[in-house]
Amino acid sequence: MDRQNHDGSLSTEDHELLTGLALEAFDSPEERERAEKLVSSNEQAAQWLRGYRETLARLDRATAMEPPADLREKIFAELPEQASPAPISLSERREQKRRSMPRYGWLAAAAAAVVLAAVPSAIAVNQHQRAITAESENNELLSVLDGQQVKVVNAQMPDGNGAMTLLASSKGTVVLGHDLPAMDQEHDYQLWTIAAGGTPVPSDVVPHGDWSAQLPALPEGTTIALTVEPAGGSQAPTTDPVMALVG
Amino acid sequence: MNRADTGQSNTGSGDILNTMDRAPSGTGTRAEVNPGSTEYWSGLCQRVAQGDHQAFDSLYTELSPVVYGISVRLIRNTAQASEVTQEVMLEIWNNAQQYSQSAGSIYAWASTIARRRAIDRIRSEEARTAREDRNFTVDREVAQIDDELMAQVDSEQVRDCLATLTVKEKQTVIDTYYGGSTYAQVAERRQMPLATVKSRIRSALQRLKTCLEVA
Repeated sequence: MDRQNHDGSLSTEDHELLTGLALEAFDSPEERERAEKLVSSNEQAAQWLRGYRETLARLDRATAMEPPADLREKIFAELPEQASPAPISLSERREQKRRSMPRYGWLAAAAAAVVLAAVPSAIAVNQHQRAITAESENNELLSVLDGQQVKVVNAQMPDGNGAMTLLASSKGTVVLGHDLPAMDQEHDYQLWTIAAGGTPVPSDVVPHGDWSAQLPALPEGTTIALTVEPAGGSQAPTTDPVMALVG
Repeated sequence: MNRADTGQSNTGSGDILNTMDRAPSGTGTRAEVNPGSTEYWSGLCQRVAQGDHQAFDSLYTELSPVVYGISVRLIRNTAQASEVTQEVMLEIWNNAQQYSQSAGSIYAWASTIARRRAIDRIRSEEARTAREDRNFTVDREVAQIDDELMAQVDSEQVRDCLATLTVKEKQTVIDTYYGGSTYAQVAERRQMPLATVKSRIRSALQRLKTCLEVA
C-alpha cells in the first residue's frame, strides 16, 4: 500500500493511524502494529505523534484533578528502597549480567573500603554542629541542616591521610572532604553514588584538601565512594575506591 | 564536569540542600536548570531512577492530578481511577529512566501512560460491569457533555481552541478523548462511516494542535 503522498509527506491515512495511536482508539492490535511500525520507520511520523500527544496532554493538564489525599501515602508505601528493574527478556538479562560482571570487583573494593568507615550514628544536628564547624568553615552549608535529624558517617584513607564525612538528612546529603592528599595535574578525585544493588553513578569531581559537595537526599543504604580518575572525571569508575561510606 | 565547592568558598545559596532547584548529582553537573524545562524533568527522572523518593515526591505532586484527571474522565469511577493512578505512578517510578528517550514533555509522557492504562481498564472484561454504573451515558446530548468538558477546562487557551472545532469534530473528540471509544465504536454510535470518523478526529486534532501552538 502506498502509505505516503508522492511528495514524501505523510498521507491522511498515516495521520489517522497516528491520531488513533495517540487517542488509543484502535479496534484491533493489527492497526496498532501498523501505527507503531510507521512511527519506528519514519521520523516525520514520530514527530507528528509527539505533537498529537503533546496536544492531548495540553487538554489533560487543563482538566487535571487532585487525587484523594491518601493516595500519595499509599503509593509511597509501595516504593522499594530502589526501583525494581523493568521486565526484560532472557537474552537482555544475560547481556545485562555479562556487562555487569566487571563491576563486581569494583563493588567488592568499595565494600572493603567501607570497612574503614566508623559506625554510623543518627544524632540531632545541634549536638554535632560545633564539631562539624571546626572541620569546615562553610557555616551557610551547615545552617540548612538546622532542625533536621542528620545521620553522620565518617571514613578515612587507608594510610590515615585524608578523611570524608557524610551528613545525610531527609532534605539532602552533604559530603565533606578533609585533608585529601594532592595529586598530579592528570588526576582528580571523583565521588560516586551506588544505590543498593545498583551501578556506580558519577557524581562531583572534587579537589584535594578540604571541600564540600551537595547531593540530593539518598535512600538509606546508598554507598558514597571516592576514586582517583583521569582529570575531569569519568562516566564509569576506572579505579577502585580509596574511600567509601554507606549512608 | 564541574568541581564541587571547596571548603574555603561560599556557595552563595541560602538553601543549597533544596535539590529541586538544581541539576541532579547523577549528571555530575552543578549548573542551574530552569524548573519545568525538559532538562529539569530529565534530571528529576534520573534521580527517581536511582531510587530518590524526594524526587519522586516532586513528580507525584506535578503529575498525579493530570493522571487522576485522565483516569476519572475515562473510567468514571473514582475508586478505580485511584487504582489506575496508583498503577501509573508506580510505572513512572519504575520506568523513570525512559523519560529522556521520549523526546517530549513530562506531561505528554505521563499522559500517554495514563491514557493507555485507563483505556485498558475500561476495555477489560473485568471492568465492563462496573462501567455500567458510571455516571456517564454515551448517548447524552453532545452539548451537555461539551458543557461539562468546557466547565472543567482550566485554561482559557484550551477553551478557546476547543471552541474552534466544528460540532461534528467535537462529537468525535468527545467520544474518543472523553469517552475512551474506539474508531469503530464512534462510527456505530454516530451512525457514520468509519472513514468519516477517522477523518474528523484527524482534522480535529490537527486544528487543536495548531491552535495550541504545539510544535
